Amino acid sequence: MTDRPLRLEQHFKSMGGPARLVINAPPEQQLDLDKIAHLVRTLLETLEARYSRYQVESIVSIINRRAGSGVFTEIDPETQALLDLAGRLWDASGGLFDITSGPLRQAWDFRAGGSADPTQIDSARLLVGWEKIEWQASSFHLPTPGMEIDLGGLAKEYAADSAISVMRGLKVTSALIELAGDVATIGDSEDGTPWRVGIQDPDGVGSLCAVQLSNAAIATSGNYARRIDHEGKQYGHLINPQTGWPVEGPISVSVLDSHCLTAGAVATVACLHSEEHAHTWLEQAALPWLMVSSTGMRSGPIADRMPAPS
Amino acid sequence: MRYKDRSHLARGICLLTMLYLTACSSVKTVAPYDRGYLAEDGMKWDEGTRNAKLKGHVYTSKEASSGGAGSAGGGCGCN
Amino acid sequence: MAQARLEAAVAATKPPALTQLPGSSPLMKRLGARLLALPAYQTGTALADAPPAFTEVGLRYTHYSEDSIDQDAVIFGATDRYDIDVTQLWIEAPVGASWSVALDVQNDYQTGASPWFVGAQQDGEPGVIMSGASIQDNRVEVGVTTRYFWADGNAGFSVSHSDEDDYEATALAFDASWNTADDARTWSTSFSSSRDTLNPTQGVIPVFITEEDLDTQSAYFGVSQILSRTAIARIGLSYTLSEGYLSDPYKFRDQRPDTHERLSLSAGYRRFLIDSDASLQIDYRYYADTWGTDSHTVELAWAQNLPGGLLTPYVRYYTQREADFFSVIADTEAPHYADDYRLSSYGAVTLGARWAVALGENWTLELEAERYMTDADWGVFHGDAAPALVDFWRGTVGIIWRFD
Repeated sequence: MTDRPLRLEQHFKSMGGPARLVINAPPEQQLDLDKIAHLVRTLLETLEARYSRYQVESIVSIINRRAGSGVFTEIDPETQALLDLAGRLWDASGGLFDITSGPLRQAWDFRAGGSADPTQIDSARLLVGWEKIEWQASSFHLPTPGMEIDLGGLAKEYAADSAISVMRGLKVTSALIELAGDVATIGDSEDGTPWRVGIQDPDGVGSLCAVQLSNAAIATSGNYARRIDHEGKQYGHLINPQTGWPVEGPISVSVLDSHCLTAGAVATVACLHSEEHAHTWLEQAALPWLMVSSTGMRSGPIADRMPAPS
Repeated sequence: MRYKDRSHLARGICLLTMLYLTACSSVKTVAPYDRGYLAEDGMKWDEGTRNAKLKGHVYTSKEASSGGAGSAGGGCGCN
Repeated sequence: MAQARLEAAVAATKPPALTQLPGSSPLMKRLGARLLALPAYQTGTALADAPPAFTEVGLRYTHYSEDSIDQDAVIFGATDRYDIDVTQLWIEAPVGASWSVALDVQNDYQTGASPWFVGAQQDGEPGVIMSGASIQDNRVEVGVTTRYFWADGNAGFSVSHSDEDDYEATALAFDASWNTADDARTWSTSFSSSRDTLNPTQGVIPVFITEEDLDTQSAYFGVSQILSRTAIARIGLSYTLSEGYLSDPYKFRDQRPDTHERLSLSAGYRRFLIDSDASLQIDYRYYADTWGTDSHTVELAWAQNLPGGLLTPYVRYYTQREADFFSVIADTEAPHYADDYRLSSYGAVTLGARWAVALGENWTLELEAERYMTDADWGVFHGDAAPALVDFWRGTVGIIWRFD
């Protein structure tokens, strides 16, 4: 038995992006960190299998395959709660946040980097709209063939919260989970100070700034990751489902909350708004936030706490 | 410290009130998601309504004292 | 230490002061409403006010057995004392999103004898004259409780009725508890009212009354406070007023006042020890009444999480001062008198342990055993030793089934 604190750090791929897991434990607690990490990774794999639209057996793929078939899909309480949050976000954002906007994304075909055909956009818009879904208690159905839902963003942040919850249940007092830039934490880092977490700089590869987290989570939503050119103009990859066009909103928004899912939901909706409306939305949420505008200007309670650039 | 001697009792209540105020003023907020340990089974005030009722019943019928934690209940011929 | 803190700084600059996360805005409450159903968002489950998620059916059996009285202390009669078998059966179920209903049935079957009165033995020492033959009595109690839950609290109303050969009681009770805005403090209160009717059976012991009533009103007020992420404390005050027939009809020399006011102050503390994976439980009660009795009760328990469940050994110390009208041999010349050992000065120690173990997802088994021992010399208050102090064993086994 050693008296040194136990530490585990693992890097891996999960929920469609890079992941990092750190756990610290005092030696007297006698935690089996490898076993805990294994449980966390199993949980992440389970959630990915359940919610990824790239896995044919996921509940999302099943719902999407049955679009327009008239066959309702039974959904469990967990999926119901995630879909309920999606519905509440759609409502609160005036329809900007919409997990059915997949067909529009395909019309713009960001991967090819090409421009969109306006007629394609119009026909895609017919397949988009949360108000069209059919949902009664535990039965869910998409009414038109070609419609689809995407729970990817919410599921990733939910996975981070679930990992934290599982580790808390295993009496872990110090841990960090990072899934593609979204971070959730338990307690403080190994030296007893809050976890220092970097927010990615939209203009470069470095960190925009560091926030310190203790039993809190931060999520960042941005338009910087994948951008497209259209008739000489640069657009982000987020699309306004009502116009069918990419939004000209902030470059990135980071939000801090007790849970990653709620932080991520607020940040994602903020990025779909114009910068002015994003401000109002973030004020309403009343959580600490940081916004980087299209001109590179930083604002929000987190930015205000940073020293002025020299 | 008899009941009839009410000044003692008043002093007791004062002491408890002061204790309470001191304790509460030095308390830091504990975030709702950080209350996992407070939710442990061992942190409950009693070991379940039925067990607490039965134990209270036994002690009350064998000792002169009653009341205290939670409701005083009442209503049984359990002498 | 572990509260949520936010701090932002350009990497490698001096960290500014810490701030706390704000409380939930109405928007966040609305967005997260349904998430509370998910385990990942339920951390303060014991503190959240929501009806039970499951229907619970429970059955408990308790055997209570008093030690035989010492032959030297008995002038006449049997030395066996009470044995009681208690069966408790209940079902509690959620109704809709904000109500729960519980039905409780309890049956007590009691056999044995009890002290009738205390007289002087030939050597001058006091001795007990026991009630003659063994009595048999069955008591049935039925209670219904409905409870309403809202975001910051809950309130319950219950009605119960208890019936046995010689005693009938009906009680109403109301209780409520509510949390403050930050949920760190919980206020609670309860009121109860009962009407008891005695119809003593004319048996081997001569009884001098035919029917008497007793009315009791009781009120409790308390507050609990979260002190840290591992500690919580509470204090409470209760007051009870009884008016009516308060004597014991089965005792020969027992004449008590017809009012009884009781007051108790209680304090409790719970502390979770992370390294030990256990909780320390401390409870204290001070009690005083208008009959001149007062008492101290201290209870210490250690609730240890083990692979096999939660094991809680406990120790309880109790000491009381005798009532003004108590004497070892009752003074029947006085306006009020009693020789009941329960009104004498003494000390008592309980040693016990309970074990709760989950059997699969839906079943819980509970076992508990305790030993109660009394001695006039263990008390901190002065007074003559009563000859019939009681010692007993209690054992309980219970099984609880929870389902959707």
